[in-house]
Amino acid sequence: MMKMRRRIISDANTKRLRFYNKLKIAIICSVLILACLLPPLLVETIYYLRVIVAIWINAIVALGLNFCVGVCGQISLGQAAFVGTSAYVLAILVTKQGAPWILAILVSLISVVFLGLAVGLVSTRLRGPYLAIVTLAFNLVFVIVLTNELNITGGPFGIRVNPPQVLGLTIDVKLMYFLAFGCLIALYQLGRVVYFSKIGRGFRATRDDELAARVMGINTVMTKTQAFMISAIYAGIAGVLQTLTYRFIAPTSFTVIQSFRYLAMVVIGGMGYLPGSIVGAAIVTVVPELFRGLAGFWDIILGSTILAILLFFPKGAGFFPEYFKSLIARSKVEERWTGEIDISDI
Amino acid sequence: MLQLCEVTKSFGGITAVDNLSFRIEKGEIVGLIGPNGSGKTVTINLCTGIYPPDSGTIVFQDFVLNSLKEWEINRLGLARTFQTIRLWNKMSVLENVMVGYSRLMRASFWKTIVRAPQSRREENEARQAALHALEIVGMAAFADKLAGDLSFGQQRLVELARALVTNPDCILLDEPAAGLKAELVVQLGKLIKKLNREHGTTFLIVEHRTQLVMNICCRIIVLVSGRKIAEGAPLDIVNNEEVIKAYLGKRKSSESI
Repeated sequence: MMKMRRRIISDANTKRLRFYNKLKIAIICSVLILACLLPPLLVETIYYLRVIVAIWINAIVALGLNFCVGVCGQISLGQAAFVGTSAYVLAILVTKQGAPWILAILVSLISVVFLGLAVGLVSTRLRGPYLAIVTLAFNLVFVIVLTNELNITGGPFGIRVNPPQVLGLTIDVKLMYFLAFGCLIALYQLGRVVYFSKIGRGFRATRDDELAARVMGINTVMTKTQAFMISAIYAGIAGVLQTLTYRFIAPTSFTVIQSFRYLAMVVIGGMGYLPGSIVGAAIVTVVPELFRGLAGFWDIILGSTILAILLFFPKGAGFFPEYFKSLIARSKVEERWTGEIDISDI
Repeated sequence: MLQLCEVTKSFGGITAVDNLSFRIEKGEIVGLIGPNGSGKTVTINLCTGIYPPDSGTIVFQDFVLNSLKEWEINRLGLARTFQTIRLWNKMSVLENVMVGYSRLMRASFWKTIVRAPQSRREENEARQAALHALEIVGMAAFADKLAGDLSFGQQRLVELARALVTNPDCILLDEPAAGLKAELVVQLGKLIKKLNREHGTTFLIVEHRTQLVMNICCRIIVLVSGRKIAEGAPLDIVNNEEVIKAYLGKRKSSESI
C-alpha cells in the first residue's frame, strides 16, 4: 500500500517535472526565436544581415545533410551539387526563359527531388567509402558541367539575376532574412517530426545495425532513398533561397570544398543531432567571415576551430548545454547518487 | 507452416547446410540442436532471407522464401532474434520495440511527414503494442532507457519483445538462453510456452542448453555438420544412439541430462 501510494505521488511529480521542463524549453525557444528576429530591425548594414542569412541558409542544408549522414548513416559528399542544381535551375529559368518566379521555384525544387531520388537509388547499392566516392564524383562532374556549358550556365562567370519579384513584391535582404529564417524554423520542425516518426526510426535503425533493421521489416533500400530525398529537398530549398538572396551564382559556390564545409557543419554540431546542425552552420559560416582580412589564411583558422571543437566537445558543439549541465552536476555527483537510488524499487 | 525441402548452402568449400529437410506445423515448439558449427544459425539465416539457399526450397505459409528480401519475409509474419544481440544501441528500448512493429504500419512517406490521421493512429498503436510487448517480457520499466545501457540479459528480453511485438505467426529464436542466469532461463521457458498457448505462436528454438529445449519443445531436430541425423520427441532424442555418439560424445554423459 505504502509503495503504491509512493508510486502515485512520484508519478504526479514526474508529470509536473515534465510540464515544467516543457515550459522551460518553450520559453527558451521563443526567446531565441524572438532574438533571431531582431537583427533586421536593428542592424542597418546589409553586410551583417547577409552573413546571418547565410547562416540560416547553410543551417537548412546542414539539417538535410544531417538526415543523410548523421541519422541514416549514409555518407554524402555531394551536398553542394544539390544546392547548386536548384540554384542554377531557378536562375536559368528566370533569366534565359523568362519564367515567372513562383513557377521557376517549383520546377527547381522538383528537379532536385528527382536528382535526390537518382543518387539515393545509387546509394542503396553502395556502402561506406564507395558511396562517399560516388557522391564526391557526382559533385565534381556537376562543377565541371557548370564551368564548361557556357551557353546554358554562363561558365565560370556565373549568372546574375534581376531583383526577384514574387507576387508583385520586390524581395530585398530584409525580407529574405525573414523568409530564410521562417523556412529554417519550418524545416527544423519538419525534421523533428520525421526524426521521431517511423521514417526516422527506420533511418536510425539502418544506421546502427542495417542487418537487424532489414530482418525486423525495414525496407532499407527505400529508407536510404528517402534519406537522400529528404536531404535533397532541404538542399533544394536552400539553393532557391541562395539565388533569391545573392542574385548571383557561380560554380565556385558549389564545389566539393563547399560540400566538405556542409559536412563540417554536421560533424561540428553533432552527428544525428538536429539542433546541432544549426549551431554548426553558425560556426562554420561566421568564423571565416571574422577572419576575412587574413585572405588565404582563414581556412587554417576554420580548420583549427573545427579541431578544437571536436577535441573539447567530441559529441559535437550542439551538445554544449549538456556539457554545461554536466559540469555543474559534477560537483553534486555524490548527492545525486544517494538521492536517486531507492533499494525497494530494484 | 515452415517447411525446408532439400536445402543446401555452402560457403566456399564448406557445406554449412547439407540437403536439409524438415517441417514445422502450426502451434508447435520445435528445438534445433547440434554441436558448434553444425549449421543451426545458418538454417535460421536461410529462413529469414539473410542469404539465399544454393538449392532446395524454403516455404512459409504457401510462400516460397528463396528469393524474398529480409523485410518481405518479416512482413509475412516470420520474426527472429539473434544469437549475438543486435539491438539499436543509440535508440531507446521503446523505440527499438516500435521498429519491430513497422511491418504493420502502412502510412505512406508523405502521410507520415504531414502527420496525417492514419499515421498518428498507427504511431499510437505501435507505442501501445510496444509497451504491451515490454510488459510481457517484464521490461516495461526500462522503456525510456537507451538499449545500449541495459545489461546482457535485459537486452535479450528486449530482443524477444521486439520479435513478438507484432504477434507474428512464427518466431525463430537463435540461442535465446545464451548468457542468461538459470532462473531467467526457466522464466524464458515459461514465457515461450505461454505465448505458444495464448497466441498459437510457432517457435523454432536453436539452443545449446539442453535443459530449456528438453523442457518446452514437443519435437527436436538434431543437426550434425549440416545434416539432420535425428528428429523426434525429446525423450527419443536423448536415447538415440546416433545423437549420443555425435552430439554428446560418450555414452556416460547422456545420464547427466
